[in-house]
Formats: sequence, structure tokens, C-alpha cells
Amino acid sequence: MIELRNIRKTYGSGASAFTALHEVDFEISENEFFTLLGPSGCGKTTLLRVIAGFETPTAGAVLLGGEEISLLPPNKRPVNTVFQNYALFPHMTVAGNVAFGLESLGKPKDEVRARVEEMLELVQMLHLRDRPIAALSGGQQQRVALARALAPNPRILLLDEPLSALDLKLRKEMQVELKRLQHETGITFIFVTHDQEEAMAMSDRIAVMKGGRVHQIASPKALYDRPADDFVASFVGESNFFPARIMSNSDQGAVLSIPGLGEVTLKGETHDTGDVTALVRPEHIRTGDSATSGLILEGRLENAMFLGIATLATVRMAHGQEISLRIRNTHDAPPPTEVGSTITMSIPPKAIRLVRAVSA
Amino acid sequence: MADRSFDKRRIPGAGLIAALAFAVLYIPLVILVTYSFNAGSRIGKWEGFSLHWYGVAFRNEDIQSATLLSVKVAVIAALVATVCATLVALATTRGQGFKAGRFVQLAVNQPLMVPEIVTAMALLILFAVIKDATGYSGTGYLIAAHSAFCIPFAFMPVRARLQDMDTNLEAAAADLYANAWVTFRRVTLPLLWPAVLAGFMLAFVISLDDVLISEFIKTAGQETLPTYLLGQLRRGITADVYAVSTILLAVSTAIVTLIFVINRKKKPGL
Ligand SMILES: Nc1ncnc2c1ncn2[C@@H]1O[C@H](COP(=O)(O)OP(=O)(O)OP(=O)(O)O)[C@@H](O)[C@H]1O
Ligand SMILES: [Mg+2]
Repeated sequence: MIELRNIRKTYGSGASAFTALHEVDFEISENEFFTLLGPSGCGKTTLLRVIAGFETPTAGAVLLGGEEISLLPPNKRPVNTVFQNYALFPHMTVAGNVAFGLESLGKPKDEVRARVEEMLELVQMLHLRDRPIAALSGGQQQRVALARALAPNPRILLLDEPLSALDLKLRKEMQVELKRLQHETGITFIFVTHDQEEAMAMSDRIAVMKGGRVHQIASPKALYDRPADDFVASFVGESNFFPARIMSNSDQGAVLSIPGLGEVTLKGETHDTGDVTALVRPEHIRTGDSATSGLILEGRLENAMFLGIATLATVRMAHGQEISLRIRNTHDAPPPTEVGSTITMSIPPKAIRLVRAVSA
Repeated sequence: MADRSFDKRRIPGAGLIAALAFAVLYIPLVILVTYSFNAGSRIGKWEGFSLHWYGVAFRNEDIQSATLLSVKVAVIAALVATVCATLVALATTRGQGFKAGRFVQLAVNQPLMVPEIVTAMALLILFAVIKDATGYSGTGYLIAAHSAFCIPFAFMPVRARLQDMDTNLEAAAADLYANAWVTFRRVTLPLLWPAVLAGFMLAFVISLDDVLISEFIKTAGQETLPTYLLGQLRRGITADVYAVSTILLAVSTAIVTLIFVINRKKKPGL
């Protein structure tokens, strides 16, 4: 529904020019919960501002339903924003804020009133409709900002880190609530966060960004299972990276050699021979000597952190490399806790992913 | 904070100098106000409390017409200055050309930098030329001159407020389908209003108080309250002048206090 075609955005000019977005190119479909995920300064807000119309792209085009909207001003786009600091109008009441968009559109009075009521009901703020904005808590302001942006029934709702100012409990509640709202309204949500857990929990698809570029767009599961590069892998979940080498390809699969760990055949895969980076998630490493296939390793327990459901352990190999593993705590197998003890681990071949190395 | 007051106390004689400064600032005012309520007419000789001189001042037709002119000029000049200052402030803080904006902000403050006597001379020459050409000799000159030198005073609070204001509020209005005019009318102006009012009142006080420029460019027979008082002094002081001065002082103080109150009250909602 909304298409971004080779968007580039450069701020300033001459020596002080800074390119905040490089060749961003993807589309988002109707009714999708789409998330922009990335570290601070990677261009998430800039991309939202381009979609909302506050910034004109330096190159490229924004298309909505097949029509180019790159040059339309914000007030002509069926797109509404929940700002990071909410940007509620301090001189109006809760209801006044929610009515603003409808009034600008010239809707008749009773329609405005009915819709405002409906929206405040939706975010459970109807009882506070006549409160001034200054008399609201952070979470309440957040709900008003949501109601205000949803009231004109936009085709796309942009949310710029709407939950970052809330405490953990409220944040979890609002995550559920946002999902519910998206489901009930059927509006496309473009959500910005730098919290990977939040992104995973809520999104249909996630775009992982860094330095103004989109590194990968995929569903949360695909992003986790098949990260395109080491940046995505380390940003989404925990990772062990091993510098490795593809030695050869046989009928069995590609032969991977990891210095210090050994050699393993990646069944059914073929890769160009040469240097690669191997990724293994800490929770995919098994402990104990039950393992019979894959890489069997031994190391010294450096550190064990009990987290309740799991134990996070760091094991140092003979050649000096550290490997982290996440061991599930079960009732019959107590996790290793004695620092300095020897741990036997195995890495099943299926747990090994080859990723592009982009971070130094 | 604690450190600072500690330091101050350690400068020898600072307290004394401060006390002296306060004395110099306020003793003349206290004397003026006190003697405006004197029953007798001689300064230095207290003959009991009375509102006699206020009565004299109120009945004086010259004072009446001077007051009328002063207030008329101040109201119109403050209005013109506030409108101009607000437009300039909007253009320089919200417009596109930032480099030009800096320059314009400086240019608007010209009346603060050029010596007033120079401005007065310049205006005198300009108005003489216009008078020759058109024959007009009304209050327009006074109003025009006052409007001009009041602009920076109206400009200061408005610009400060605009710079403090979260530009996301205007972005939010645009996002919610408001065009530029609706955004201004429903978001920018209501939030700017206290500063505009403060600017207006500041300009009003400045205009009301001006003697130098008015003295230069008023035409024969025109007297503002300050130029009237100045003229009276040349003839020898009567105590009704104290009464008028005291009222002027009261009005100015009241307005300046009001400006503070308006701006304080609005702070949390910012
Ligand atoms: N108006 C501007 N002029 C110049 N540079 C800008 C401007 N706005 C943003 N930038 C730069 O563009 C880059 C991307 O900024 P952006 O606000 O999009 O980051 P972000 O991903 O939203 O970060 P955060 O998570 O901290 O909000 C940053 O390096 C920022 O300094
Ligand atoms: Mg941002």
C-alpha cells in the first residue's frame, strides 16, 4: 500500500551535509504492523518524517496506493503521527485534542462529538475527557495522543517510540493494547523502537536499520532464524560469532572449519569457499555429553548467571575464545554453577548460520 | 546556589554598596510619592496628608489633554509595534531562511543600539521633509516614531516564547490536517498570546514614558504627559507635578507586575 522507492535524505549542504537515509526501498502492505528497529541515530525518525510529509526526500519517491505523495504537505496526507513526546496541545482539553483533526477536516459538530467519544472509549479515557492536558500522567497522555491520531481514521498511523517514556509494566500493557487497537481498526501501523524485544513481540514484519540503511526486512521469526548479517544477528537476540572458513563443497554439503572448534558439514548447503562468519545462538548450544553429532567442545566455566527459567553461562575455550550459552533449567538437571569446572558442550550443525560480516 | 551567596558575602563592603545602590534607586521615589500627598506646596516641609494636589492635577485641562494624547499614542504605537514584532518574530523563527533570520533579528533591535538622541534628530529631519511636502502636522508623527522605537520591546518576549515553543506542536497540527492559517490560529497564537500581551504592555509603558523623541518631533501645541511635565519644570515646580508623576509610576509598576504575573502563570502549561 505504501511504497518507498529509493529514498535518500540529505540534511544540510556542502561540507556540513549529512545523509540520514541511503536508498531506502521497500513497501508495506494494508493492515500490517510494521516496525522500524535500529540504534539511536540510524534514521528511524527521519524516515517517519518523510512518510508524514515533514521532510521532502532528497531523492526517491513515496507512493500511497500507487499515487506519488512525496510533495504533498502533511495536512494533505491520510497519515497521522503519534509523536515521541506526544506533542499534545497544552491549551486544550483531552476531548479538544482528539477533536482537532476532525475539526480541521470540517466534519459536522455532532459527528465530531460522537467520534471523539468513540475514540476515548477505545483508549479507556472517556472519564477524563474534560481534563486539561497538564493534569494527565504519562500513560494517560500516551493514550490521548493515540486517540487523537486515530480519530480521523488515517490509512497509516506512524508511532515514534510511543512507549519509551513509560515504565516497564505500563509499557507491557500498552504493547498489548496497541496490538488490539491495530487489530480493531485495521489501520496500517508503522512503529519505531530501538527495543528489539518490543519489536519482536508486536510486529508482523521488522526493518532493521543502521546508519541510514535498511539491513534486513523480515518477520520476527525469520529475522531471528536467518539474520542477513552479523549486525542484525547481534541486534536481534544474543549471538556467538566465529570467524570460519568454507573448505569445500561435497555431495553431503558444505564443509565448514572453525579454528579452535573443529570441522563440521552443513548438510544440504553449498557455499562459496572462503572466509565466512558463523553464528550460533547461545540457546542452541547443548550441554552434557549426550550429543553425538556436530561440534563437541570442552571448556572452563567462567561465569554463570541464574535467570530463573535459564542460566546464562560463559565458557572459555582452550584457545582463549569465550562462548556464551543459555542453559534451560529443568527440575532434574541442575545447571552448572561451579566456576572453573569443565563443561562439555555440543553445537548441532543445524544451529550454525553463516552471516555476512558488516560490523568490524 | 549556596556557594554563590557565600562568595558574595565574602566580598568586603558588598552589602554596603548594595544598600547604597538601593537607597539611590528608591529614596528619590519615596520622597516624590510622599510629597505628592502633602497638604502644603513646599518640598521639605510636611504639612499633613492630603489629596489636594491630585485634585488640582485632575482639574487641570492641560494635564487632561496631555494624558489623553499620551495614552492615545501609547495604545496605537504599542498595537502597531506588537503586530510588527510578532510578524517579524514568526518569520525569523518559523520561516525558512535562517541566515537572513539572524540578520533581521539584529536589525529589529536597532532602536536599542542607536543612541536615542540620534534617532530623534533623524526623525526630526525626515518628518520636516514630509511636513513640507504634505502639510500634515497631526499626531501621526508621534505615533509613527513611537511605533518604531517600541518594536524591539514588543519583539523580545514574543521571540523568546517562540523559541521555547515545541515545534512538534505545530507539526502535530499540520499532521492533523490543519493548514498554515488554522495551525497559527488554533495552536501557535493561543500559546503565544501571553507573550504578545506582555510585549504589548511593555511597548505601552515604554511609549508612555518617552520624553526625548517626543520632545523633538511634537508639533506646536502637542504635549504628551512627559513633555508637559518637562515644560512645567522649566516654569518652576508645583506639587501637582508630583501627583501626576506618582500616577505614572503606579501605572508603570502595575503593568510591569502584570507582565510578570502573566508569564509566570503560563509557564507550567508550556
Ligand atoms: N534537521 C536535521 N539536520 C541535520 N541532521 C539531522 C537532522 N535531523 C536528524 N539529523 C541526523 O540524522 C540522523 C538520523 O536522525 P533520526 O532522528 O532519524 O534518528 P533516530 O533513528 O530517530 O534516532 P533516535 O532513536 O535517537 O530517535 C542523526 O545522525 C541526526 O543527527
Ligand atoms: Mg527518533
